[in-house]
Amino acid sequence: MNEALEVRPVATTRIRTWVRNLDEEMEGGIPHGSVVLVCGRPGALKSSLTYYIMYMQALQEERRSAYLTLEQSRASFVRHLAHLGLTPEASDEVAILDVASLRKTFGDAAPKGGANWLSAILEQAASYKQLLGCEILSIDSMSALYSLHDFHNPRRELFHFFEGLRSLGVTVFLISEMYDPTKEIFARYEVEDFLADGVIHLKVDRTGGQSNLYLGIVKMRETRHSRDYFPLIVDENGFEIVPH
Amino acid sequence: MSAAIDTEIVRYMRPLFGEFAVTAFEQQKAHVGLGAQPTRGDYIRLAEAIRSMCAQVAGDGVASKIYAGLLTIVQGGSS
Repeated sequence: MNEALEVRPVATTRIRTWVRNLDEEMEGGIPHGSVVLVCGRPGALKSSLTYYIMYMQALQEERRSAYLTLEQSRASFVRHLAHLGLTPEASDEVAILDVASLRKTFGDAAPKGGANWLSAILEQAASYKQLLGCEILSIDSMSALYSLHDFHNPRRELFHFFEGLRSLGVTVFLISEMYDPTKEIFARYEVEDFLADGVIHLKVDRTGGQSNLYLGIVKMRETRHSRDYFPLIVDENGFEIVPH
Repeated sequence: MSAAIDTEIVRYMRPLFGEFAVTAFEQQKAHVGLGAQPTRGDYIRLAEAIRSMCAQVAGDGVASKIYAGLLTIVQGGSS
């Protein structure tokens, strides 16, 4: 074969989720540098799962992360994590940054005035990457960000926002709340799942008086992955999916 | 000299606070009651106040690092 035309597979660095049995379902993890939506209805453990991935990455692979909370206070989130057996204060590898408290202290106007919070968050994310040396970033939540930002052309602005996140060169988790239980709309403007590299969907099945959690990989670019929904177990040993 | 220290502190706070850095700095200056001719002791109290604010925003680990950097700036300035 002509050497110039030879296709060589590009080795992809992957971010393991450390959710037992999940990484095996997607070639070892999430491609590093991806922008991933973590979607679900209230109570689906979106924030907890995302933090768990970052926490385990710090613990097992010494990767630094930054978790930006836009609505819940840092103190409240830390207390919630402690209930799951996660101890954020034990390590500074995962910095929980309380943008909510900055909002409370300095108001909801974007830092440079006006209400362009998409740009403000991108700038802050770039700063945090430099300040903390983080390789993973999460933004909790998209709904909170949308409530701050004045959209004129959501599709165009979100395109540039996702491109901006991708250009940071870190793996990004965007926590997205789903409101309509009858439809699979993964985010408010219904374009986010097209713009994202990956979509992880946490589903709560509340039939028969019971509440069961399921996890599905709806989309993950550059990855062969199962499209099934797997039962998700959360216990003192962490997160685990039950493969079929 | 205090203006130079102020500028340096704001520059140091910017990665964590972004464009909020100036407002956050001014707020903490007012909070500790920094006068027109602040002493090194005043600046150390200011650094401690900023550390508390950083702890609220980013936790003790990040706050301690910021505090150490602020002390270096303050101790490098005039008394």
